[in-house]
Amino acid sequence: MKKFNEQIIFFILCLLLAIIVIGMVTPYNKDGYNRAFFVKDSTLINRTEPAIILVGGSNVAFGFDSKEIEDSLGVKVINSGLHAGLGLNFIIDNIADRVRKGDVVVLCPEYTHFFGITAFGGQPLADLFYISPKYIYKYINNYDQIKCILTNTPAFLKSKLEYMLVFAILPEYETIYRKSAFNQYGDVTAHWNKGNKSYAQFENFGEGGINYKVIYHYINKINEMKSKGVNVLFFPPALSETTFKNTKGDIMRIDSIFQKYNIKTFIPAKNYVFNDSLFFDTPFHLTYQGAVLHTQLLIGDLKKILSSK
Amino acid sequence: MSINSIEFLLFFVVIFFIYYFPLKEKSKAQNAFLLFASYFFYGYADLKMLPLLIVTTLVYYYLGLGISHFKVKGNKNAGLLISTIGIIFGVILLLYFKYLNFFVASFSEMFNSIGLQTNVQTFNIILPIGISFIIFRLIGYVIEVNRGTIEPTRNIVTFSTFVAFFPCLLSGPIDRPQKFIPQLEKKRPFNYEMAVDGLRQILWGMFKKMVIADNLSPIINGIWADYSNQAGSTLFLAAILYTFQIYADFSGYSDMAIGVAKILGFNVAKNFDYPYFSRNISEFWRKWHMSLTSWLTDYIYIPLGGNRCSKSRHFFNTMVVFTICGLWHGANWTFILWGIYNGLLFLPLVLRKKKKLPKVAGEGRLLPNAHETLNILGTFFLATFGWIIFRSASVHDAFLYIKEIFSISLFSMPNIRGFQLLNLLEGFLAIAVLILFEWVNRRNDFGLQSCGKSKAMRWAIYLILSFVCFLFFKTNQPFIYFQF
Repeated sequence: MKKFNEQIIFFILCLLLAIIVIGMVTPYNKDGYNRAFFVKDSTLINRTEPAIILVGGSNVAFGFDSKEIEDSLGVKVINSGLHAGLGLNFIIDNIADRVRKGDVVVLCPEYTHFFGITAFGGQPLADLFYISPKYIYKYINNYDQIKCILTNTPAFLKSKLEYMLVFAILPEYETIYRKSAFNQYGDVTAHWNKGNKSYAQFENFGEGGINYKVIYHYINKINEMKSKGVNVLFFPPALSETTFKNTKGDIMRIDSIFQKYNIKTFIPAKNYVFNDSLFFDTPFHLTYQGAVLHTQLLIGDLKKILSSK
Repeated sequence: MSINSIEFLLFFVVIFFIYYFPLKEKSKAQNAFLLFASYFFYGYADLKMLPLLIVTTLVYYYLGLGISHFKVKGNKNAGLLISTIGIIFGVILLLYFKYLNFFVASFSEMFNSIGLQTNVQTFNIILPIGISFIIFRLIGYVIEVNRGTIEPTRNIVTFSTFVAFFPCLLSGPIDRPQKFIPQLEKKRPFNYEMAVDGLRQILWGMFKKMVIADNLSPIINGIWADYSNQAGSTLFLAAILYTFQIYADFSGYSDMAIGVAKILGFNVAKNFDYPYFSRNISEFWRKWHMSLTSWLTDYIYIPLGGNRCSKSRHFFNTMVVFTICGLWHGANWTFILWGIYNGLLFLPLVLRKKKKLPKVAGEGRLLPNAHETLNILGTFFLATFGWIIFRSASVHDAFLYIKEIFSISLFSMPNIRGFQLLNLLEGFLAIAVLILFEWVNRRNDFGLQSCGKSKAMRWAIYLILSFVCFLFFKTNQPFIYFQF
């Protein structure tokens, strides 16, 4: 038994050492998609004037032509949307930390942000943590986020190795999921000259049930931002027609919860539903044509809301 | 709590230390502890159904005692009657929980199709997990007691532990009482060799599950979900991949379960013996899900007359067994058709004179000869088409899928793009490792049992495989056979 236990411990130590060494010596993808977070965050920190800040996951990153919004409304626009996999807790904590009096925050998180354990994040959160733990740790404030980082550590390490492998075998490999795919406003534009791909529709968002823990945190942070003199507006995310039909029940459940807490979405979810052909590779990522349409709708709605206030 | 989860790892570490330290060599206390752990394990997965497991166990415990009581008194007919009651009770439980809605819906559809409108409602029945495995284990027990192969155990804890032994509870192997119960009755001190072998088998099971089955799953699911828009070549590729996925998933589970049992000092039934190296369909079925196949052979096929009868009767017996085998997998016509398909594949073997094959392919050689290679590939592709039926949502989908394969687009390039291509390359590499290790170990119990004489080489292989498993780790990856 003693020999068995000693060998097990020795084996685990060897394995841990291999994981740490390989984790340290393999290079990061300097143009990795999630690295755009640091660029966006630095834009939020270094700005000198109040701005319209678009907040959410990748539906926001792929969903707008921010220059068009800026030109139409005459206010600086920052698209902070990156990835739903950062988790709503992380996204809202980061924004609440960066907003200033006079800002207009346009909140349009994905519906998946309110369901199940994935509401706390996925591999992207682990990516950011391992890229810059000192920078990220202040937004990691609960056990579920730590669990998410730990369980996604293997996937993070695998992605580093795959990056080495892909670029060794296919140096010309091009993906739109890279830091350089964003423009100066924070919109993903690398796919604007591309047509749409076939993609799977969502059947539901409800796996794992509604995550009330995330919702309560979200509501608290909204109130915190409001108390700072920030104008917080709620918009539904852009969604494909088929996914909207499939998930109507889940969307209604979320709407009713927000109504209960006096969080009023200004626009009905169905107004931001677009034809399936206007989505690029998921039911959340709009093509250029889709983003133009979505932008026009947002400009019209923002003009109405802001003038009425 | 799946056997491939972090929760199970923590659960098992606790079990291991309590089992081998405070309870060391106290077999009765170890059994009681194993029973408690097994009920905890089942309750964690399906608490509502735990009372059903306990009550069913008690019923069969007393049935076993009843059979023995009458046999001792020389009343064999009463023993047979009780044994038959046990079989019928098990079948009723299966019919109720697993098949009632299927039969109701099928009859309703049948009547509607001939113009007789029915307004039958299906029932809201929750399927207890692992029920098919548990019931088969219990039916096997009453049959063996009646046959006199074993004495019924008078210790309720020993019997309950046999029924609910946690590594094999949810997806088998379906252990036989005459092999398992005696192991519960003897002392089980820590056995270093067995524990190390168990760890190796767990590692091999993890590799198959995490690196092959789970990695291929998104590609296969994506293609299957949209099969009507895919090229024949893509569908064919997905069918081949599924053939490996289902093997890696189920045999991976079995390896992990057997490995965990070995660490606790138990030898449980072998479930797979490199089925994709089989040279005909009969050999394939002797090597695929062996604990189920041998159960069906011993309790259905042989009592029906087996192969010691006319060719037509032999064929009939084979068809009966395979139809039941298909139905055992689930309440869907696809499973029944899959069973019939496999039965039909036996027809040439029934008609032809039986040739005895060497125990393993490539016996005494490094590689199989040309004839064996052709037979192995032929059997593999026959199994692949069976898996298409098995995997499809309906019989209609299965036929359409196969029809689409045999279109002109079979000769186009499969449509796999972007990061799925990378997953596919990783999958191919892992399948190559699987084939290599399993071919080298084809005379051994599992693919990693022997991997070099040098200790450094063995440790390097274990470390590399463990590291690869770590990289491919994902939470919440269910096993395909949990649904059965």
